[in-house]
Amino acid sequence: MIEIKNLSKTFANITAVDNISLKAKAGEIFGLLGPNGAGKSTTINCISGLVVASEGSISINGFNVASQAIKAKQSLGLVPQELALYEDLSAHENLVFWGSAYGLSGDELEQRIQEVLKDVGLEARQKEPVKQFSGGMKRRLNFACAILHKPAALLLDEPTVGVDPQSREHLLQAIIKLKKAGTAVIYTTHYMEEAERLCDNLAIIDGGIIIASGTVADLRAQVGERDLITLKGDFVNLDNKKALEEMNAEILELDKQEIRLLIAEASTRLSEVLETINSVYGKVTQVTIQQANLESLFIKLTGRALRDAS
Amino acid sequence: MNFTKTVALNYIKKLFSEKWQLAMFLIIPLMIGGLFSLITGSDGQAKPVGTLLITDKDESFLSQLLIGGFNQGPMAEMFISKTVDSNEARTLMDEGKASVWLEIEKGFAQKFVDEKPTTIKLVKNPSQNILPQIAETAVNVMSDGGHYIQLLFAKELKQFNNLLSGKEVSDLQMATMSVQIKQTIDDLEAQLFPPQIKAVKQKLEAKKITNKTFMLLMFPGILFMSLLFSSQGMALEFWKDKTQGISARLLSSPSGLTKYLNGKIIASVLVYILISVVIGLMGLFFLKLSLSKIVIIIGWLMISGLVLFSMMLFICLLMPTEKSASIVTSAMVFPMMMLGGSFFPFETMPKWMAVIGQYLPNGYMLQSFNQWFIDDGLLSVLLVPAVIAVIFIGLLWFINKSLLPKFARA
Repeated sequence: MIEIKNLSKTFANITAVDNISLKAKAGEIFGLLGPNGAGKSTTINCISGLVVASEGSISINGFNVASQAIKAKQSLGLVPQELALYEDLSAHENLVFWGSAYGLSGDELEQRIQEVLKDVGLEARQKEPVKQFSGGMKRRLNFACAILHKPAALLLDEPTVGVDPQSREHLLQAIIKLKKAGTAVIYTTHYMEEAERLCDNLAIIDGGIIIASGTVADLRAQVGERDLITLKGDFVNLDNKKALEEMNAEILELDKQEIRLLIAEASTRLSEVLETINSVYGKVTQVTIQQANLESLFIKLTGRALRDAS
Repeated sequence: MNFTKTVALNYIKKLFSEKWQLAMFLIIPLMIGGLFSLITGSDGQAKPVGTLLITDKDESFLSQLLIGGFNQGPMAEMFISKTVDSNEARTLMDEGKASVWLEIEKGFAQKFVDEKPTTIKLVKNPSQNILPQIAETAVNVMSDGGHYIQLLFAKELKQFNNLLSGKEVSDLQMATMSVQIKQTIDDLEAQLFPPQIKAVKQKLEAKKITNKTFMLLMFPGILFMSLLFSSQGMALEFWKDKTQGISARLLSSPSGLTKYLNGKIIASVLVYILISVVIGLMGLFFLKLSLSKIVIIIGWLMISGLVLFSMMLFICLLMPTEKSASIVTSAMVFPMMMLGGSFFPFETMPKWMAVIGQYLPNGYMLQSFNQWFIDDGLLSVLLVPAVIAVIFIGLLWFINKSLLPKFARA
């Protein structure tokens, strides 16, 4: 289990993380969702000991990160956002290095190396130098290095950034396997689909603050059963909101180029919406309808799209 | 211990996968040492050697006597003389394959005896300076000598020439000639060699005669050059690991950075052993060093290498970027080699420079080493420097250990 209480981290005058609390139980994946610079990586770095927290407490598997650092670290696996591999050495040699960093040796180490290589689909390439690997393969190996010692808690900092679909699927399957084996996982991402697929609990973080948290279902409920409709065009008369409110639409964004609305049954009411917009605000050139998801929640909470924010 | 060992082995594997880096640790110092040796000669006393072409058209006793002057003593070490005819001599001179051409005209001996002018032609190679000049001076000296012989022994020379040319000389004439020569020399002695006023006998303490070749003198410098290059390379490895994310990730592992540092230190010791063995084997074959000496050399290089590695690592950990670490350590290596006695002995440096050099870490370790290795000192001369080196290494280990986490996080 990973438990964070009132964590804050300040760099000079910048507060990167502000009074965050969260808990990832054994066999649970906790998602930290937010754009780049939201404070996800700083939170991960505080948990893993790369950064010393300014305030608050962190415990891993019951061990306090500050006062019982070695025991806490023994229970923890870290998959950093940046690769941490020796490019000149083979995949096997990298795994030996990281395995021995976590106290594994001899037959036990070799057995675990073969197991994790199988999990990430790199058994056949284990003797090749890492510099010959694709980006996705390096990401898989980076992940494998973190789980060799069967950690009770695992931190994954955007592990699928820049990864090809095949490697992504390998990684997601391996993470699900770890969850089933009882590992507590904290998973940071700005990919909504991954968060919705993997996470039991989520916290949406922005500007170092958790702005929403709960299960995926809880968070979806905050948006309601409404769809997100995005309209593009050259719009005028933006002070007039009455027409939209009469349609029971929640206005997320209303500007000269783009209107974003949360509206129930958007696809069946599309002609009504277009008619209203065309008559009140001007001609619509493009329409997109999305079912209610975490993206719409993030827009609702921050007024920005996740990827725009990043 | 397991992780420390893995770090050490990993570095050695990496080093062997980057064979050029390993080769550079050895090749550059050997190349510099080899070039120095070639320039100065393997015995350390090499002199330039030129070719002297001789065309003796007279082929007389006196012309042979003149040529003989170039074939003995110090002149023989400077010139390889070759007897050729005029045409061949001209060709060789035109091709620049000789330093000097000496041509003795026909009738040289007869003219000399008859006190008539005679010619010795000396042609110098214009592309060379020193050797032709030496040859010209030698011919001038011989000419002057010939002139004085003419003045002093003109009569005897004529009789001697008759003897050599086969004319009959009576016993009386031979005896008279001998007495005259003896008489002339005795007369000269009184004027040329003043009487000895006082004989002073002083017993000088026998100076230890050492036969140190240049290669032997360069040997410790080459070893320390290798140490400097390899220490710099291994210290910069910390930056490579940092840019690859290794050191930061290690902060989250229970083994941490101390075992990592120790592993790197063990790896550096292995590299120093490798360097000492390779260069030591060369010493074994080329300098006929004893095996016991090589064992001590290996030990000393391990300590000295660790001193330099610790210092280079300290500098690297303080630098803000890999590039600045590389620039600063490179800027240190060459002055340290120059001042620290790797290129030039301290004795040849200006005093103030030698003082600085002897207090540089490499200079101090090299100077101590030389007291044992070059000056044939007792092994105990290494004791105090070894203790100082161990204290230095220990101190820098603590400093580097405390700098590493900050370095990894930055």
